[in-house]
Amino acid sequence: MPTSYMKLPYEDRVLRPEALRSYDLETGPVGYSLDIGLNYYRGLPLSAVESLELTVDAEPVPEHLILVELNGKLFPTSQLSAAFTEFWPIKKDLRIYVFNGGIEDGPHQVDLRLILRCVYMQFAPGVWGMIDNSASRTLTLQGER
Amino acid sequence: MNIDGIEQGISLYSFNREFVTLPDYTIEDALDDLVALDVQQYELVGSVFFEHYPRPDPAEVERVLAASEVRGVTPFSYGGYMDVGRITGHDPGPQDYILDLTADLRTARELGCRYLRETNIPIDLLPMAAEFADYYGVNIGIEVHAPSKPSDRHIQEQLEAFERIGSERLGFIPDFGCFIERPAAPALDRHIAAGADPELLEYIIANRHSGLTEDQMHQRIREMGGGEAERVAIAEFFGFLSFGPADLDGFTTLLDRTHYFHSKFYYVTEELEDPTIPMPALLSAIVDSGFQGVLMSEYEGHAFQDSDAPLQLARHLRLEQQILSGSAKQHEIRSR
Repeated sequence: MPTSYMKLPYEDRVLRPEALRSYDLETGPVGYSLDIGLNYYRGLPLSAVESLELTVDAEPVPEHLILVELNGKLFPTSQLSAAFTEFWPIKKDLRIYVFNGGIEDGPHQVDLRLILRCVYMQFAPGVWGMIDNSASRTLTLQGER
Repeated sequence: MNIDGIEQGISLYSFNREFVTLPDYTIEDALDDLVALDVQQYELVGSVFFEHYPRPDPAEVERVLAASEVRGVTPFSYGGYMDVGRITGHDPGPQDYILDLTADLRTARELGCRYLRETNIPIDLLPMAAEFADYYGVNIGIEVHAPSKPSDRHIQEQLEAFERIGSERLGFIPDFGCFIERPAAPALDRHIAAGADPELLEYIIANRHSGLTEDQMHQRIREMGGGEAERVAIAEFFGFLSFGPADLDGFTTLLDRTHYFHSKFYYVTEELEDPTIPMPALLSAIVDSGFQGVLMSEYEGHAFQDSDAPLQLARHLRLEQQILSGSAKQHEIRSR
């Protein structure tokens, strides 16, 4: 059988210390954003995202509260698989917005499960190499950019 | 350096850790590192260095050309990919391959590269690929990469297809990662640091070619008390760090159809020895074949150790020079 889940040693750049930021409007807190880096050696099409699950402080974040931003465009997680003309370059972060009304200041335990399809590594019809881009980290909420 | 018609180049993939992990490290920095090693020919991998892929923005191509010109270096080859799995749930067909090949040929041409590296082109599309290579004036090399080996049936079938088609545009790029005889110590150290049991790692290495599949090996190691750290090691040893007796006979069958080489390496000691890849045997086969062209050093130790790419590349270039000078003399003596 082929290599199943590849995990490269760039995990530290998936959730950087300053990745978690509050997202406020003049009307008040709207939610927060989270920047996600690639743990791979090259960029990938956005459609390579096979699954993206976010858990903050042990609470899974509901899918309908999440929007993903890349190249100035927003996608619900359910549409990422269709975004095959968007390229996620290796030096650029994916930004996730969570519209939950905000979270408290201070540290938060962030667990990201992100599986990517290795789009050039096909082992059999419908069977592709997979990249484990998951990471866990305690992140302190930062102010807005 | 050029030794009797074999020129040393460097794949910028060698600086992958720097490029990926250092926010301020740019293509210009990679080219500076290349120049510091006194090397002029290089390979650029589009999906690493460009923000847009499969087709880079024209300004990105312009930037590479300008940075190269000012440093007196040349993009010799362009590293392309067949990203045919980009459409989720779609079984790729000829159109998907042709799209990616065309995109990469266009970029290679714009960069002035003589060669395009491709990861895979189905055999029935090779005649069309040769035609497209003529249109764009760029030669296409299919990389022979671990876990494949030159003697593998699908590689030999490609070789037969190249012969049948008869176009000089088509050839191979053998990657020396195919000839890993044993994982390098730093690769093992990384797994041990992650919690893998050294004895279980030795068991995996000793039984890698016992006929067990990756899943069966995983199952057995679990029964022996192994966990996640061993699973990651197994995935690596059955994948890109696949190892075994070097397929030198298979290697020689490809040499007449080789465009250039990816002189892949993971670790060169201070004494200028590569404990993983049989460099003297590989390079002397190349010299004996009469090959004239580029030997592209490609450091991949960054996959498992903190990188010192410039130091490792400097050692690797010297190691190649030593072997090539010796092999060239031997070859001359044998040819008399």
